[in-house]
This record gives sequence, C-alpha cells and structure tokens, in this order.
Amino acid sequence: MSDQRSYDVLVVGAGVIGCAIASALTEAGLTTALLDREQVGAGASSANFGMVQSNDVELKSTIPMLKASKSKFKHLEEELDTQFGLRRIASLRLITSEDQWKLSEERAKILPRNGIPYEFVPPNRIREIEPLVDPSNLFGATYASEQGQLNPLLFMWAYLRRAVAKGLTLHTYTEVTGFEISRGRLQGVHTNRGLFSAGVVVLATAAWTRQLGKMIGRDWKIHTFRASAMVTEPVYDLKLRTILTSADHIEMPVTSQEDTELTVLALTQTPSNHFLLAQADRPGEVLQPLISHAAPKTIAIMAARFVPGLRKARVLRAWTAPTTYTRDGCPLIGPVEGLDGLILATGYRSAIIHAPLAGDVITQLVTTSKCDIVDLAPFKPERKMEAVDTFYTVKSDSSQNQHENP
Amino acid sequence: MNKNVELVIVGAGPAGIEAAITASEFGIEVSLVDLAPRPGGQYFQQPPEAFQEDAYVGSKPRERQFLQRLSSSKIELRSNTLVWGIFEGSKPGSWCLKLHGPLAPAQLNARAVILAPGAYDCAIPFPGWDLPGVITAGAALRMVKNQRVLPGKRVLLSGTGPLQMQTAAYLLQAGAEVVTVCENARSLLLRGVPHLPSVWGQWEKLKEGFDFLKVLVQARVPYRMGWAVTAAHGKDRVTQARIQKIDNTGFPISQPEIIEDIDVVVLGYGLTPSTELFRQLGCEMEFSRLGGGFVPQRNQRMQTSCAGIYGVGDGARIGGVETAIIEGRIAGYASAAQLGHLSKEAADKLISRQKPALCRQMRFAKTLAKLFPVPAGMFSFADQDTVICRCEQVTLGEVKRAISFGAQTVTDVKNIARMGMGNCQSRTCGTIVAHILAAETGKTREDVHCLNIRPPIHPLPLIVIEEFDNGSVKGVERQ
Repeated sequence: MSDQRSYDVLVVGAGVIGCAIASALTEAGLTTALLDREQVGAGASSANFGMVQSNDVELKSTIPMLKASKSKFKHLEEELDTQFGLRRIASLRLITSEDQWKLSEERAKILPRNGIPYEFVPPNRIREIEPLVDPSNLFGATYASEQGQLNPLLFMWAYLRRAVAKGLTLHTYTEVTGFEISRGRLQGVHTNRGLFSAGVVVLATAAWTRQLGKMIGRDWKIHTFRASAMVTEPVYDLKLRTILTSADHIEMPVTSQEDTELTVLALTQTPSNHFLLAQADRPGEVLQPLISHAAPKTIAIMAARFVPGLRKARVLRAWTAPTTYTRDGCPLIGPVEGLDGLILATGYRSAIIHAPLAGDVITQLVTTSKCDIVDLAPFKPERKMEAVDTFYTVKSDSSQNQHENP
Repeated sequence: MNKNVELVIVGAGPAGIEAAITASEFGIEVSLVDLAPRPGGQYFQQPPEAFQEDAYVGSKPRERQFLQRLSSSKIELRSNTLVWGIFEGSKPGSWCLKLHGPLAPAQLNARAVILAPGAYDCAIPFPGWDLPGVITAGAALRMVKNQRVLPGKRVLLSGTGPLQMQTAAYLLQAGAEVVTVCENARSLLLRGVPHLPSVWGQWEKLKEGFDFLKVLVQARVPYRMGWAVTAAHGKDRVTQARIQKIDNTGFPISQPEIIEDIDVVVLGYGLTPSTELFRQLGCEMEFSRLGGGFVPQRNQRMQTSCAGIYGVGDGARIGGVETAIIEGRIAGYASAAQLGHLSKEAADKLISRQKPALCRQMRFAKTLAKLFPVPAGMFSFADQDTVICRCEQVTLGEVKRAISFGAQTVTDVKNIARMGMGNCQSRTCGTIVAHILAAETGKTREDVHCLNIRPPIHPLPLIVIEEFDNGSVKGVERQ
C-alpha cells in the first residue's frame, strides 16, 4: 500500500460495541481506525431488537459492569446529539410449569437486590400487565418492569458519527486475513486491502472472533449460533405493551435431527407499530447469515400460539445473523495473554446495554494498561470456563435449553 | 404439505417457458410456478380467462404457438402462485421453495431451480411523481393489453427507449390522446451510426419499431427529443406536468414548459431485473451497467454461484425477449445434464450451438442500452420534500441527511433513514437511492452496493408463514 496506514489503535468490527469503543478512543485523542469485513453493522448489530436488557444478565460476575454501563444511558442521547428512541419497557416471560419457574427463582432473588426489578406474577396479573395474552394455560410469568429499548441502528450510527467527527477513519469491506507479529508484540493486521499498523488492536468481532483467534493459534471459547427474527407491517388494532417472551420452546430440524431451529417466543411492538418477532436459534459454528426454511415457520408458530391475533398481520421480512454465547455466560474482555497489543471486547450477551461502558473500559486499557472501572478478572479472554451458566446456552453445548430474550 | 419434484422453474415468461419445455423434452419432471393467473409473463401477457379471448391485442402467431407448446406439454403449471423464499433444502444439494397460492403445496423440494423472474419498470423521482395518474410504461401496457382499460384520456409520456414508443402506440390504438412524447435521448440518428453492425439482422425488431413509429407519425404525436418531465402537478391526481429540455448528462437546461389538461403521465425509463430471489438466496452479484444494475453472476450454463440455481432472462440481466428464450433453452440443457437426463458432453454441444445467436442478441441488447441511457442528471429532478421511498415515506431530504450521517452504502442509508424497509423491499427506491448516494459521495453505483433482500419477497400474513391451514380460518386474504 502506498498510503500510510498507521494508527494508535485499530478496532476490528464495526458493530455496536466496535462503534462505541471507536467513539471513546477518538474522544480520548487517539488516532483510531475502525475496520469491518463488510459494511457498518453487518453482523448481529443491525439484526436485533434494540433491547437495553438487564433481566438476562449472568448472575455471578457481570452485574456490576452492567449496572455501571446502564447508568450511562441517562444522558446518552444528548451526549451523542442523536435521538435513537430510547424508552422504558417492561419484559414479561410466560411460564407454563412450576419447573420453568424454579429455574428463574435464583434470578428473582438476586436481581431486585441489585436494583433490577424482577418478580413472579400469577396468571391473574398477567392479563393486567399484558391484555393481549390469554393466561388460562399459564403457570405465571416473570415480570421485569424496567427494561429498555431503542433503535439499534441509530444507536450504532450515533456512536459512529461522533467517532468520525473526532477523527476516526472507517474502512469498510476490509477483512482481516492475518496478524502481523514481531518481537512478541502485535504490530498490526493484514487485510484484503493491505497492512494496517497500530500500537493496539481491539477485536470487537463477535461471531468472527473464533476464526480470527485460530489465525494465531488461539482457541477462544466463544461460540456461534444463528439467530433469526421477523418484522410485520404496522399493526394498529393490536397493542402490545411489553416485551413478551416464553420459557416454552419448540424445535424443528433444518438439515438433520442434529441441526435444528430452537425457537422461543420473543415479541415486541415498536413505536411505529411494527411487530418484531423472534427468536429461532440454530447452533453451529457457521457465519453465513442465510436464514433456514424452518426459522420463519417456527417463529410464526410461536407468535400465533401466544398472540393469535397476529395471524392476519403481514410479515415484511425475516432475517438471520450469527451471534455468540460463552459457556459461563460472560464476555471476553481484556488483553490477550502472551501477546502484547491485542485486546478483546466481545461475546457480550446483550451488547447494547454494555456498549457505553465498553468504550471507557477499552480506552483505559489502551491508555494505562489497566482497568479500575470494573473488575475484568472474570472476563479474561483465556480463562477456564468451568461454571456453566444455565440461563442462556444452546443445545449443542449443554443439555440446557433456557432462553430469556433475543 | 411438502412435495418433491426434479426441477422447479420460477416465472412463466418467455425464458421460463422455454426452459420448462426444453427440460421436459428430456423427460424431466418440471414444475413451473408463476405469480400471474395465466402464463406468458410481461411479454406474452394474456388477458384474464373471463375475457374469453385467447391472446392479447396484437398478438402474433409465434406467441400463440409458444403458449400452445406449453399447454400441450406435461409441465405442471402452478399459476397464481408466489415463491416467497428459497432455502437450503433438508437433503444435501437440494433446495426448498416456499410457496403461496391456491392448491399449492407449502413447500417444493428440488435439486435444480431455474429462476426466470423477469423485470420491472424503473422510474425516476421528481416532485409529484407519487401523484395518482403518474404511472410506469409497464403499468400502462398492462392496463391496455391485458385489462383493456385506458389509464386516462390525455396522456403525456416521458422516458427513453423502444418500450416508450411501443407504449405510446398501444395507447393511441386503444383510443387515448397522446399529448406529447418526451424522449430523453438526443440526436439518436447520429449516435446510432457506430452501432449499426449490431442492429444488422434485427429485421423483425426494426420492423416492429417502424410499425410503432408509423402509428405515432400518422397521429401527428409531438415527439420531443432531449426532453423530460421534471415535475407533475395536481391536487388529488395529476392535471399538469412540467417538461424541460435536458443536456446529455440529464440535467435540465431550458426554461420549464407546462403541459396543461392531462390525466396521465407515463414514465418509461427502462427495466430493472427482478433479482429478489437471487439476493434472498445469497447468490454472488455483479454490477452490469448495461444489464440493469446488480445481477447474479452466472457461468456459461446459466448457473449462479449457488449450485443447482440457474438464472435466465431479463430477471438475471436485461437482454430482451430473444436473449431470454435462448438463455432459457441453455438452462434447460444444463439442468437436464445436472439431473442426469443428458450427458455432460451432449449438453455442452447443445449449449455451444446456442452461443452465436446468444452473442448476436446480447450485442443488440447492449446497443439499445447504450442508445437509451438514463443519465445521472435525471436523478436531480427531485426536491428536498419529494418522497423517495414511498412505502416508508422517506423524503430526499431524509436520504441526504442519512448521507451526511456518514452513509457509504445503500444499506447504510436504509439503516439510518428506513428507506427500503417497507412493503416493496426497495424495488422502487433501491436503484434511485443508489444513484443519489453515488452522486452525493462521488462513488460509483457499484461502490454503493445493493440491498439485501429477505424472505418473504412479498409481504404475507403470518398465517401463511406459519403454514397453518388457512382454508379453515376466515378473514385472511391472499395478497
């Protein structure tokens, strides 16, 4: 390459986490470039519901970080000078058996103690909270009254716009093909557009992290599943108040009995009255975002089972994006052991709520080589993942099939 | 309901019918799926059966023969049926097509699929282009040829190419008064000279064009070369239009003239390949300026980057009816070889025999595309308040705001401004926004990419996606 491509920091992955980190780094005066193999938000960031979600948090280690990040939302629209439609919304998770409730009991004890409302509600209260639901066959529900939602696309672009205004260089359609390492230190990355040099490289690469790790002989324990969702045209005669999810799931084979869509209900109505419908999850380390024949069908079956009135609503489109999970439910954040200059910030269960703090944490790591904002020990990229978080795992990885929300 | 078949062909226009006939002659079990009530596509469109007529006004023996070959074959024709998505099948190497239509199974499984989806009109946006009475040439032809209704009495046409001349002639013959035809190309004769060799031999086409021209000359229709409609006015529907002379790059150069007392403006700015299924499937796309924009990459056998998925006709690249028929034939041979009904060597021989004719037709199609371009300046007619995305009501001002946000691709504009997220999934506005974005950022059309398309490719009630037995549920209409 003839032009100089040398930066203080390279952020790989222009999703919501990458854009937030890029914004914080440029704010701190670091010359920064943001790379993506495709366009902005081409992975899971433009495929989600925009949930600012705390009720699904991993309970052992992640709550302090989540709370610190959540508090930053209060003035974020003014700070970023963009309205991205942040609103409070309740989440209601429908439970059909006592066994399902038992899996949430611990959560219902811990979350309220940490200022996150989360309670069991009996069937007679379900209709009060969500008149669209017929509670007659339900055991009850868990109710989290203070969840949030925003437009994830505008949220991501708000950070990106701020970063570009502060000097960020954005390189889209620039795919990392290798790492440049010398004297035990990472010097930059090789891409389809040549070498990019930097003092520090941050991977905010979600489902693509695993294959990048393999390029340098690392086996980061971050796994992929493909999550699918759909949207209807605006529906005016149905009003859904909550984010409605189910503990029940259905399963449908795609190509074999081992390759299945595992589908729960996840439903919300946007301020523009569109219904968002999810979620079919298809485990497997596959990055191609092609939707399966089973995903739209199973999502439709679950939505119609709980809200039959939706049957007449026209579906505009259905989509799939590869997303991640880890066995212990915690993200991978921090420097990579034994290779100076490489930092991970990925594998968040709920990326949006963690985005504001991710920028602070990474900026501090880059500028001071340590982090006193939150304890990063539980998130070390190369930790042993012994504790199995039972709340959000996918079948291929454990026998548990518990889901909260998209 | 789930059905297996050897070969599915999507689209019963010239390309799809030829592919179906060719394949079925090798004993292949063919299912031909088409959205329209009767086969023929846009080119051979037939009037509704209830009209009790065999073919449309002006149909020729060749066209009648074409449709007769279809009806006398063993091909299973599924009319009124939408293929709303194509997915990886449950068996390796198979494809799964989701259908919606009367008596159609919810799912067809096949190892080979030929997509012949055809094309739709391009329009260019200007103030008032969304008024009732402003329609495309394809819509006008459909009204006149197929439905036997006049879109209006006093008609103004604006656009480019032979389709516009043909539309004007049909409207005249059907009894409309054609007030003016604005052809945005200038000095055709002079620019046409270098292309003469590619026109040589196209006698049928030239005669057809000459016949249409004769109709227009006899009716003394004012034909203005180098002019275009730049605005339409009216309260509830169009009543007058502003026309202006434009330069070679499409920008207006003259004072506007107002054409009064009209009730229809017909826009004919060429065709866009209907590539939704290719994009939904994830076929590799490539940009073809003369072929109508982003089109699927295909090999000599008309196969796309997805094994077993073929693309033929205007839906895969604008090339006209003769090209479409030859491509359909080639895909018929190629799928016969893929399915084991024909040896690879025999297929190659048959395919290579089609090559000279295909090259000749493609040269002619390219000549037409070069003679009748839609230059970039024509996308400057809209003002800040002109609605660009009609489904989501996104104005030019909002598109430009998204560009100032930092949008580099049409997907970025979609994500920021919500254009293309509505019912038509960007069929109308996708190309327009690509032009606007390219002009604003100094990029090429290719560099701003094209939008993803998601299933269902047309909006469908949840009950259809659910594959619930909709016969037993009232209140759900087929869309």
